[in-house]
Amino acid sequence: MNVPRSKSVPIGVWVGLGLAIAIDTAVQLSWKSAVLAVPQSATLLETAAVTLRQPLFYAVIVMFLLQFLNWMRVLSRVDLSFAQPITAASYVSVAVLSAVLFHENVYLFRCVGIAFILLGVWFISQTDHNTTEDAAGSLRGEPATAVVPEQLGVRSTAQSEARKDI
Amino acid sequence: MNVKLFGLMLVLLAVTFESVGQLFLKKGAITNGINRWVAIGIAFLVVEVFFWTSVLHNIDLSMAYPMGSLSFVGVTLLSSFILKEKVSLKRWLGVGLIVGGTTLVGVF
Repeated sequence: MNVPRSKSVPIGVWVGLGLAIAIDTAVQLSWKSAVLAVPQSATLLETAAVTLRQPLFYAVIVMFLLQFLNWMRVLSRVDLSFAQPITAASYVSVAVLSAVLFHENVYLFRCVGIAFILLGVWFISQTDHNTTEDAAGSLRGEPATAVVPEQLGVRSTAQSEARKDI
Repeated sequence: MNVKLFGLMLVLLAVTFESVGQLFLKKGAITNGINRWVAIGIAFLVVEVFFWTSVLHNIDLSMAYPMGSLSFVGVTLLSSFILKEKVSLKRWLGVGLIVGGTTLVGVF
């Protein structure tokens, strides 16, 4: 996965990264919208049952699939340590759109907290890791020390897991 | 129980399932063929979807989503202590910043 760094990143990769941020954001906004249909007093199981009846929840699953395909394509062309911190921009887009669409109060502490998280993600992406040249070997079931599945998921929570489920 | 506190506890549960799920996927990826580790990993991630749905039901999205970054912390801890991966100082620094950031988002 020794692929181009920022100097020669093709336009297609930027489109893929932009798409990754957009899908991550859309997944969370749609998921939240689907859950808004749940009565406030619902238990955990009732919450799941009502959400499963929301068409938006199925849109979320379709977006997971699209994200998985898009993300694999991006990672086949650039290093994870380049792609990962860029997609952390979704922390900003989700916060901004939560304020706009759901009228959430995104006040100073929340903004500073998100800034800390962005910096933290950047530091994590800077670390050396044991990525093999043939990282795809692990996908073919061959033993490899590739970091692919682990680091794929590390990118973000919840919205990323179905990316690997599929 | 206070709704926000309940929501925050669910975030921790979801992040734990995400991190342990990732640990199993990694174990599966370094084991030959399709194996039980991958299946267990996927099961953990499906349970996480269940918890995340309730997270979104209980707290603001602008609070929940940044807190999901705690999975970086969980995965780093599990990679270090269970998989015995070498974790650099820079990575621990990143983990510290994320813990600080999520505390600001979640507590205030």
